[in-house]
Amino acid sequence: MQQTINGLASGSIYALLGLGVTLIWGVLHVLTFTHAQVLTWGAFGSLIAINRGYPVPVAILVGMAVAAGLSVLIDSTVLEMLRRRGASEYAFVVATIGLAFMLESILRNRTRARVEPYSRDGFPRGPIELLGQNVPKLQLAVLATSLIAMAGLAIWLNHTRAGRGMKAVAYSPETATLLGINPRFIYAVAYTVSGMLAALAGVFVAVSTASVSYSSGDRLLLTAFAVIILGGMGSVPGAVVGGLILGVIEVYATVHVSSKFSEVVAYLVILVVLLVRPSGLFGAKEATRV
Amino acid sequence: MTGSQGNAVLEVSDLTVRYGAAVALRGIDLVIGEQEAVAVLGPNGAGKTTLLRTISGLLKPAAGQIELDSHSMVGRPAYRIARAGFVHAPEGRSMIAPLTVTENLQLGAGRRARSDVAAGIDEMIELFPSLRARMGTKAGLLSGGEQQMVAIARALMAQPKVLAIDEPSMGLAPVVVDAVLEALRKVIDSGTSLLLAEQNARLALAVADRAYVLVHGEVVKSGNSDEFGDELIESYLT
Amino acid sequence: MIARRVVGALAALMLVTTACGSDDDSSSSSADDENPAASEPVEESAEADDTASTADGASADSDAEPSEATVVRVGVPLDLSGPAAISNIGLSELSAMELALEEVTASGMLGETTIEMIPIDTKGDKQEAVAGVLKLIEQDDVDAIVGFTLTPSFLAAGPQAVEAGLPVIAVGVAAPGITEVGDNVFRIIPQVSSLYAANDAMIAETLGATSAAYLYTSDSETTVGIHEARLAALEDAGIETKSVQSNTTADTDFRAQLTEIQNSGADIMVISGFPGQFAGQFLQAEEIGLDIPVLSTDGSGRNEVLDQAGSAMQCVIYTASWAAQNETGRNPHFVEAVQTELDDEADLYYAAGYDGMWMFSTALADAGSADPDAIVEALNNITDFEGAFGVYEYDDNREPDISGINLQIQDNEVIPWTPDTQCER
Ligand SMILES: Nc1ncnc2c1ncn2[C@@H]1O[C@H](COP(=O)(O)OP(=O)(O)O)[C@@H](O)[C@H]1O
Ligand SMILES: [Mg+2]
Repeated sequence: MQQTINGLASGSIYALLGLGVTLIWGVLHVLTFTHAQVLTWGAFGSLIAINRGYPVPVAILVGMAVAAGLSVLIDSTVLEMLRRRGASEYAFVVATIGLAFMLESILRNRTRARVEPYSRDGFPRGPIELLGQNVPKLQLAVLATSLIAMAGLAIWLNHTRAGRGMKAVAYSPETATLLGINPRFIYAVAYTVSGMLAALAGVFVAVSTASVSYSSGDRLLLTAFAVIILGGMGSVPGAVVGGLILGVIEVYATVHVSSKFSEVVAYLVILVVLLVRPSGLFGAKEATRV
Repeated sequence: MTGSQGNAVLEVSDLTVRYGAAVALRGIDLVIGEQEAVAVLGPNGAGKTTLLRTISGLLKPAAGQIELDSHSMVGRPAYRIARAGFVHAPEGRSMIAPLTVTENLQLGAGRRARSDVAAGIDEMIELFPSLRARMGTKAGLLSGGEQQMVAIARALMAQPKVLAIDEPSMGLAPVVVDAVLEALRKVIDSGTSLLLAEQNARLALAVADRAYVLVHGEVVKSGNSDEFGDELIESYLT
Repeated sequence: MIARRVVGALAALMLVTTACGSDDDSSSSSADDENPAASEPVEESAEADDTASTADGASADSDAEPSEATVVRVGVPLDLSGPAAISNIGLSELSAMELALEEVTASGMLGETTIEMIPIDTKGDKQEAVAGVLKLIEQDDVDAIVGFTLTPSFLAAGPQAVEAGLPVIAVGVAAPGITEVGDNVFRIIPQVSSLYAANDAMIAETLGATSAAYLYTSDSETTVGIHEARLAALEDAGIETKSVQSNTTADTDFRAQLTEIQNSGADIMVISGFPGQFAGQFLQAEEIGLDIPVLSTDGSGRNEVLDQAGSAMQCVIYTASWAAQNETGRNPHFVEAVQTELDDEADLYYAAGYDGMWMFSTALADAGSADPDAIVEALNNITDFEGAFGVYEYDDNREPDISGINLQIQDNEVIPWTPDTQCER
């Protein structure tokens, strides 16, 4: 039971990450290797706000704003240049890998590679009794916040003008354009949302360990890719379910096989899904996205 | 030219478009007046689609002018041309397949107010009664005729000054074509100008006030619809 | 075509990189000043005149009067840059060696002889290490090597020095097997695995434990070695193993492992890991209500760890090879010297560099010449060497017999632990 909650809590962080990556894939058909760095920058953004004495919710919003701003900047400069040239998907991958390195080295230099303490003051602390179990409040908060964010995203995508615009651009940028939708705006919106989700995940990772460093997000990039491959590239419900499942699998692997095994779970999931069901859980055809 | 210069909604002059070195359109002049229906006729490969795509901003012209309500559209991004009132329902209907009919129509509504959008959708159902039962269906699952109706309705949701439709009759059964033409007449009556690109000249001339005939990227003939006799149609369009 | 696009993308990238890079330079130049050795060991800088005087002055000497008799050249290969977390370690080692050399020179114990340190950056890279050490041997013609930060760099380049017959004092490396590379290899930091193994059983017994659960970092040779030695030692002492859990250096979530440990019902938890992950481990243990006594690893008492998780670490016990709290040997003086001369708090790496240079100088003074064999013999024969690690000497395997010090975290402070120490949770 406690282990399932452990799995769901880390899974919800994975889901937040997977959502961001899947959104970008769905809308722009770009696999963003910068995502882990966006997470880290967002976490640092919130750290700065916390260290300046802002309350936690404000600090989280600051982190989200930093991550969103960074994402939009990446999109509107480098990626926009590539789009204008009609660059191949391959070029986008190379570019985002390069950008990820660059962002990491900037942070590494700025922080002098130090692990910064991330204050837990103002975050939920200690356990709470739930169904006869001691459940950490922080985990519940992470789980609840993630689920709220995901529900909000789903409502936004399905019931708002911007959400429909995003689906339209994802499906056919040209048709969307002919209907008066500006794809560049939609791309920026997608990157904003993706950045905000990444920052939320980043804050949760930072609070969990009470620390943040330039490499905090490193391991999570592969996890995010595993999530969207498991859930189906570009599928929003797939990212949520995929994230939660991956979190639970990792915990169960730790418990029932060996904790050493949990390290390779992400790789194994990627391999198995690609071999057995390349479209993932929710991916219909390549064409259906977002 | 027949359309009086004073109330031209769309005016294209001396338009040249190239695909690389190949010239697809050469020195095109075309005018659409208020509440006027104009057909662009021509065989496959004549340049009709190219013309529509250029006006709507998807292609950049090599030379020439495009004015909508006396404002130049050349160089504007396509989404702004759509917002300015030239809405193009492209060849092949281009449904956003995963969205429902209602959602597709909402997409077309652009920035109209929410209540206005609902009213607009009701109008579209009135215009295409056969869509009523299909509003909740994913657009990708509709028949060709229904998709064409949704494409037209979606474009109309933006309340365009000029509605441009590329090959509305393509692949449709005659009954369905009649329904579409019937609807288009109502559209014109309600004050929207129409630009129809069609291979099927007889159909197009049944709604159009005037027509241009395009061959190999050049206008070889233009005039009122009644000036196009059967022989003329035969000689250019077969 | 694709190639051209990729080149275009890279060009774009480089544009952005340089743009950001130049912006970065201006603001981080102050950081460089504090670490002159990072880029150029002889960079002139107010805070770093010790660096300037040794490196600069000595090289001037050797250029002007190449009298072999009085200048002993010591090659100092260290990982000064490279894998980022490590870079400060190498720099600490270097500045502590310089500090020690100043003290040695000031003491007059070497008479006419002077020592010239020739630092090179092995960049945490095996190839760099080999090339650097070969350069020290062949071009700089060094008499001895005192250095090495990381085990891989040492294992790659150490054999070159052994082959050249030079005395080698490995300062930073902590893994087992270092001195097996050659009869002329000595080390400073003791093999931590044996250090823990020696203390754990006693601590566990004091705590009245009969069973233990383990959490260790499985992707580092160091922590794996420590973990295995501790587990074996505790089992030998009759402590039953209830659960063995591991994590990787990249992990941030340890709750699954900690929950398993909690469910195992073990009396104590033994953590063999890295300081960067302690805060997360202890905070998450607290979260899930895991409150059995913990035997942790050195580094647990670092300021940043206590800042992050101090209250969740109440009563945690660990053994350190070096600690500021150790009152034996030259340690009290060393701690103060690092504070006054280097304006920093002493740590293990400063201690390693400091003792490395003092150890070599002592051997040089005892040997009376820079002859490699004489120095090796002198190192073997040193007794009751007084260093930052306390009072120690080399055993038959050229391992230092450093006993370490047991410490406990109480109210966010690190205090020495003895079986009589009481702790309130
Ligand atoms: N993307 C393109 N690239 C190159 N040539 C094209 C392209 N699209 C159309 N053409 C050419 O331009 C000419 C006009 O095509 P099009 O406008 O599609 O004609 P229509 O719509 O009248 O059938 C044809 O010769 C066609 O081959
Ligand atoms: Mg066509």
